[in-house]
Amino acid sequence: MHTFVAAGLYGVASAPELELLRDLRNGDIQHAERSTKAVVLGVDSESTAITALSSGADVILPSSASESLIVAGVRNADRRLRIGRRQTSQLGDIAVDREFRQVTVAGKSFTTTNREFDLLAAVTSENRRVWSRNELAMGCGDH
Amino acid sequence: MADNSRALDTHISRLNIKAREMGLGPLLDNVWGKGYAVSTARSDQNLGLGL
Repeated sequence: MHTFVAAGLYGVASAPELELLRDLRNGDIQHAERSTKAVVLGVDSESTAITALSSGADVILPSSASESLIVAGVRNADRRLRIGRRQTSQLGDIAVDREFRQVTVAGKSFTTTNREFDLLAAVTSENRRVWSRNELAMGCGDH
Repeated sequence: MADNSRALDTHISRLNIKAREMGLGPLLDNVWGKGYAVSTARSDQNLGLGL
């Protein structure tokens, strides 16, 4: 499941929550993950819907949305995001298949532990990047 | 956090040892002791970013 945040508008298209969401999407909020998924509630008009989507909302729901509808909306968004996510990545000689958790290096099968796989999956997910120790050390104590 | 950092070094060291045993070069480079990059993809262009 992806990380979701929720905001309630309740008819106010100029709500500060949307400004915050735009800042998040623009990368203007320090230490915040700009790709965090946003659920916006209280979207009761077309103009509010347009504003919310333009601001970066991933799910928009009306004020009358029941708990079941909110859960269904979030699950639907999560499913769409999973489908859209690239399952394999390659950087240099390293190829990582996330779906089957397999790694090849220079075309040869490469056996890894779970944590080693997670490390290689992380470092191959973005081209030409140096990963800080803190980024990679998160979770190293779990295995 | 210090334990995690040591564990990270151990994991990466093992990865590089496995690669060497397969006749390959190291998979990950330690960059100035502050971070890691895939050896074949490292670029001096990114060394100043956020470390």
